[in-house]
Amino acid sequence: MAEVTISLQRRLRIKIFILASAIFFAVILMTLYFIEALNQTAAEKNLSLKHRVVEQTFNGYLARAADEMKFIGQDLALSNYGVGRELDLLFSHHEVLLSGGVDFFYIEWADGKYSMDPRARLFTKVDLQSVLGKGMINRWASIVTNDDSILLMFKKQLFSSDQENIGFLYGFISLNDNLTLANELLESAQVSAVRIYDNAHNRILLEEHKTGVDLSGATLHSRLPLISPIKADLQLDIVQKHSFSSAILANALPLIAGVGAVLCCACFLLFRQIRKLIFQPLESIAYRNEEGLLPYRELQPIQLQSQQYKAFIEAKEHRFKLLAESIHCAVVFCTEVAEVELINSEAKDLFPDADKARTLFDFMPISCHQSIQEALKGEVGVSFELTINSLGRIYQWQAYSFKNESDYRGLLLVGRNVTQETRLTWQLEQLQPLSSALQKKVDTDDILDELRYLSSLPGYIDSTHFRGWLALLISVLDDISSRGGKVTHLPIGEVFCQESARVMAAMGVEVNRTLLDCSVEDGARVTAIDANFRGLIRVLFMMVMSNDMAERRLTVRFDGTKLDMIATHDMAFRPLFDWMIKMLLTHLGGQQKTLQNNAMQINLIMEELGFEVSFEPLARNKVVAWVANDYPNPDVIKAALVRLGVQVEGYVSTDSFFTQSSAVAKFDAVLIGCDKDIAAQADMTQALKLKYNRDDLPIVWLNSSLPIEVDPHVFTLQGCSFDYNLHQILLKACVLDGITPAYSNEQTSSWVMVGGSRITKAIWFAELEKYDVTTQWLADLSNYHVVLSYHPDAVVVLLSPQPHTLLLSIQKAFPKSRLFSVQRWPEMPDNVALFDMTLPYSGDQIRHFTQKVIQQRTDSRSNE
Amino acid sequence: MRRLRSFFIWVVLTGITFSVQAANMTLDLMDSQDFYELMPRQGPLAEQFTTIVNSPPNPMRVSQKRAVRIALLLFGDMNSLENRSILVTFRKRMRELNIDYRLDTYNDSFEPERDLTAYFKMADAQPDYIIMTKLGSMQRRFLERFLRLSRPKVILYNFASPLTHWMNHPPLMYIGFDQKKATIMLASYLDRQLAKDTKISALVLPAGYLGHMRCDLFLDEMAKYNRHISRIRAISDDKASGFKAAQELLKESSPDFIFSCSQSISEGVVAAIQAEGVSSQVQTNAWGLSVNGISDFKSRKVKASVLFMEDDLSIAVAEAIKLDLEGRNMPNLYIANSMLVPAELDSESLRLMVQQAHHYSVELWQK
Repeated sequence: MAEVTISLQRRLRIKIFILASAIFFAVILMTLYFIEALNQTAAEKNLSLKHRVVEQTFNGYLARAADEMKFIGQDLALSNYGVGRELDLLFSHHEVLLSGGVDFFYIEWADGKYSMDPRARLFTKVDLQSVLGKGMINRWASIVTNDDSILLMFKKQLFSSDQENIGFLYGFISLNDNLTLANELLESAQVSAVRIYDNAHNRILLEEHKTGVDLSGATLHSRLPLISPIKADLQLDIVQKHSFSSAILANALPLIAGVGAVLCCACFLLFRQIRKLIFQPLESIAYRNEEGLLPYRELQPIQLQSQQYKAFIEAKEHRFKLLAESIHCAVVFCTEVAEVELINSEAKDLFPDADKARTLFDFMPISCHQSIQEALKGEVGVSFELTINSLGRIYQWQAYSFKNESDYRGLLLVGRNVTQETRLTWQLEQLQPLSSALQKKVDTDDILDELRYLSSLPGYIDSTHFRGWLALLISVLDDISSRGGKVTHLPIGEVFCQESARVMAAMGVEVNRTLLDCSVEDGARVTAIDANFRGLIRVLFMMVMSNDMAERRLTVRFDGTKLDMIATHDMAFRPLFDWMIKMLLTHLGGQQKTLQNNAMQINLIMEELGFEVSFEPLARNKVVAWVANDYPNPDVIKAALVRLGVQVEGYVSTDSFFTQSSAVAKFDAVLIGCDKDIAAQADMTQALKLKYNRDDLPIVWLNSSLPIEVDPHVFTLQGCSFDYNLHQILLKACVLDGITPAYSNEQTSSWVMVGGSRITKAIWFAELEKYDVTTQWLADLSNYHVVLSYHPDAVVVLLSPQPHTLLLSIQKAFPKSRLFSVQRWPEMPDNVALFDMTLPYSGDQIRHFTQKVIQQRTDSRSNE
Repeated sequence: MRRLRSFFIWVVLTGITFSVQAANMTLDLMDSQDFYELMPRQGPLAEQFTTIVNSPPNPMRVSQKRAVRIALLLFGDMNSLENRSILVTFRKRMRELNIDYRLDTYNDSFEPERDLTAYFKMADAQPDYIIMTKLGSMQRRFLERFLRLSRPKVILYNFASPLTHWMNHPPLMYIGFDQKKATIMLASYLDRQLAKDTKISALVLPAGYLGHMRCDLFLDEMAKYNRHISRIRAISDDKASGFKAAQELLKESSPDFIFSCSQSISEGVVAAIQAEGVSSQVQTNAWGLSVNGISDFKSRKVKASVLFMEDDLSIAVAEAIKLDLEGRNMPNLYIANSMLVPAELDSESLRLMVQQAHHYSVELWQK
C-alpha cells in the first residue's frame, strides 16, 4: 500500500476555507436576519411613529372641529341672532361649515330652548336631548345612540359679551361612514388599516382599511391607547402590511459582498500569515543548513532533535571514517549502479583514477568486474584477489552487498592487503626448512596404518612383494623430501612405462594387473618431469596395483595443459597414500578429489615443452601377429592394437601361429604373449630365428612379468602395456624386416648349422647360399628343441663335436632330422652320418657335401 | 432617507402638537392617575413620601458644606394668611429637619403693570431650589430654562398636574392637590344635599387651569346629575368681582345656591349673601378656609367646603429638599390630601379638622 501523505498546509487551508465559508454563510444569514429584524424593528418604530401621526391627525381633526365649535360659539354669542333664526343665519353666513369637521351641532339655550342642526337627522334619529347629559364642557365624549350611531360630542359654553352664560353648544362628529376622517387617518401615515376602539364599552368606534390591500399576509400591528381629548378609554389600532421582500437581499448584497471580500482577504492574510509564521519556519528546518536554532520555541525541540541526530550521524560518520581509514584495508562503497560513494585513502592510493571515474568499473581491472557484478546481483561471499602491479601489492577483496538508504543494493568492497602474508607465505615456504621438513615428515600414524593394513591382508605376501613395496614407499618418500631435483623432458607415456615397470618390478605384479588408459597422443606429450611427478605416478601405480577391486584402472587424459588422472582406489582407507599424494600435489600444484566410485581424480597443470614433439604414426597396412599363449586378457592387447590402426592376426599359441599363419603374406611384427610359460615364448623366438635364419626379427615379447633372461634380439615391452607403449614398440619393431611365413618349409630345406668357428661359418654360409638353403646357425644344440620343433626334418650339420647323449636324444625326439658331421670325433653316435672333410673347408668339399645331402633328401622323399 | 422621513414626521407631529396645545389643555396636563400609569415607579415612591410627610420630622443625616439657598416665589399679598402659613410651616419643618438653609422670598403681586423684577432677582441670585407657588404661562416659560439645566431645582407648589411636555426635564417635585377629585366629591355631595328644585347658579372662572379643572368639571357633573344651572357667569378670581356678581345674581334671579369656583369668589359670594341679610338662605361652597375661617361655616352661608391639607404641601417641600440633599429617591409628584367639610359638621370636629389641615400654622388660622 502506498503511503498517503497529507499536506498540513493544504489541510489547514481546506479547514480554514470551510470555516470561513461557514462563517460567511452564518454572517450572511445573520445579516439577513438582522436586516430583517432591523427592518421589522424599524417598521415597528415607524409604526409607533405612524401611530402618533394617526393619533395627532385624529386629534387635529378633533381640534379643527373644536375650533369650528369655538367659532360657531363666538358667532352665536356675539351676533345675537334672533331666536329660531340662528341656524339659518349661521348656515347662510358660513358655507364653510358644510365642509368642516363637525358634522352637525346642537344649541341648547339657557332658557331651555334649543336649536338643532337639521343635518343631525342624517346621522341619527334619536332625540339628542337624551345624549346631551353625557357631554362635557370643552371635552369630547364618545356616545353611541340607540340607533347605533357612533358620535363624538363636544360641549361648549356660550357666554354673552358680559360673560353671562347663554347656553351650550354641542358639536357632533359622526364616526359612522366618516370617510373623511377615516381617509385622513389612513393617508396621514400611509397605513393599511385603522381602528379606534372603546375599551370601556367594548365597541369599535371607527374602522377602515385601504381597499386593494390584502391584510391576510404578514402585517404589523400597533395597538396603543389613543391619547386624545375624548374623555374615554380609547385604543387606536393601526395595521400596516409588511412583507419580507427580496429587496432585503438586494440591499444586503453590498454588505454580503463586503463581508465576503473581508473574509477572503482575512483568509488570504491568514494563509499568508500562517505560511509565513508557521510553515516557512517549518520548511526552513528542513532546508536549513547552517548551525544554530531558529528562534521559535515550538520548533526548537524538533531542531534540537534533528541536530542531535545529525550530531549522532556525524559522530558515527566520523567514527566510520576513522575506522575506514584505520583498518588498513581498502574500502570502497558504491551504489547500485556502481558509482563510488565512499572511498578511503588506501583505496584511493590503489586506484588514483577513482576520483575521475564514474563507476567502479572505470577503474577496477576487468578481471574483477564479473565478481563485482555478481555481488551487485546479490551473491554473497564474493571474493577475489587483485594484484596491483604498479604498487606491488596483492589485495584480497571481499564484496558485500547491502541495502542502502534508498533501499537499493549497494556494494561494499573491502580489500585486505595480503601482500605481506603472501610474501611471508612464500618466504616461509622457502626460507623455513624446518617447517617444510616437518611438513614433509611422514606422519607416523599414517605409516603405522599402512603397515597395519598390510599386516592384516588376508592373503600371503611374499617377501619380494613386501620388500618392493617398502622400497617403493621409501623411494616416494625420498622424492617427497627431495626438493626440486632434476627436471627432464620426456613423453609422458615414457614416464608411465618406466614407473609402471618399476612398480611392477618392485612389487612383482603382473603387467596386466593394471589397466592403464593412456592414448598414444596423450602419451606422446612431452612435459617437464621431475621426481615429484614420478613419485606421484609411482604412488598412483602403487595404489592401483595394490587395489583389490575388480577393475584396476588408471586413466590418463590431457585437457589442454591440464592432466587428468583417475585412479581406482581401494575401498580400504589408506591414509598414507592420501598423505603422499597430497604432499606431492602440493609441490606440483595439483588438485585432488575423490569421485563417486571412490576413484581419485587428480588434476595437474603440466608444463609442456615449448616445441611440439613430432608424433610418428604407424605406417598404414601393417600386419601384426598376436600370439597370446597364456597371456591374460589377450583381448585388451588386441583392442589396443586395433586402436593403433594395424591389422591384427590373433593366434592362441605358437603352434597355431605356425600352422595357420600361412594365409598371411607378411607379418610386420609378431607379438608373443607370455605369462608363466616363458619357454614357449623363447622357443618360438628361437624357432623363428632358426626358420628365417636371422636374429633381427620383428618379434615383440609381451610378458606379464619380465623374464630374467630375455632374448637380446627381441623387443620387450617395459611396464604396462598400453596404447602408447605398444605404439612405441611397434614403431621400433616395424623398422625391421617382416616375417614371411609361407614356403619356407616346402621349398628349401632347413639346415641347422651347429658350432664351428667364425671362419668356418663364413665359408659355409657363402657356399650354402648358392644352393638356396636356409640356415640357422646355432652355437650348440642346447636349444635344439626350439629350433627343431619348427623344422623337424632339418639337416643338422655339426661343425664341431656335440655331446653323445644330446645327439641321441635329438634322434629320438625328431627322427626325421638328419645329423651330419663333417669332422670325426670320438664317441660319435651312430645316427650321425660322417662326411669327413679336411680342414680348411674348401668350396668343393662343401659343394660336394651339399649336393650329396640334397641328393639324399630328394631320394628319401621320393622314397616316401 | 429613513432619518429624513422620521424628521419630517417629527416636524409634522410637533406642529400638530403645538396647534393642539393651544386649543386643548387636557392634552398638556396629566392627572395623577395618568402620571402613575405612565411611570409605575412613581407609585411606591409617592406612597413612601406620603408616609415621610405624615411622619414626625427626621433630621437630615448628611452634613452640609454650606447652607442651602432656597428661593420662594409668593403671589398676591405677602401678608395674606396663605403666604404666611406657607412660610411658617416651611421654616418650622426645615428647622425640625435640621437643614442649614437660607430662604429668599420673592413676591409677584399681580400688579396690572406686571413688575417682573422679582423674577430677575430670583434668576440672578442663583439659588439651589426655586419654589414656585403658582404656575401660569409666564411662570412656565420662566421655569423651563432652569428645568433644562436642572439647576436650580424647581419645586412646583400647589400644582399637581404634571405637564406632558416637561416629561423629559421634570421639576424636582409637583406638590399639590387633586382638584378633579375634590370637585367631583363636592359635586356629588351637593347633588345629594341640595333639593331637586334648588335653583343653582354658578360663578365660574374664565378658561384656565382652575376654570377647566374645577368649573367645567362641576358643570359637567351637574349636567350629569341632571341639575340645571340657571345662570352661569364667568368672573375673575377675586373677592370683589365675586361679591359684585353674587349681588347681581341675588338681585336678578334669586338663586338658592351659588357655586363658587374658587376660594376668592366664595369669599365674595359669602360677603354678598351676608350683605343680603341674615334671612338669606342662599348658600355657596368654599375651597379651604377663609380669613374668617370657621365663622363662615357657623353662619351657614357655606354649604360645604373642600379642606386642603395645605401645611402638608410646605412640609413636602422641606422633605423634598432634604431627600434631594441626601441624594435619595423621591417621587416627582406628591398629592396632598383634601377632604370635604360639610356645613353640618359640629364646631369641635371642624376645629379638629382645621387643626389637622394646618397642624403647623394652626395658630395663624385660629386667631
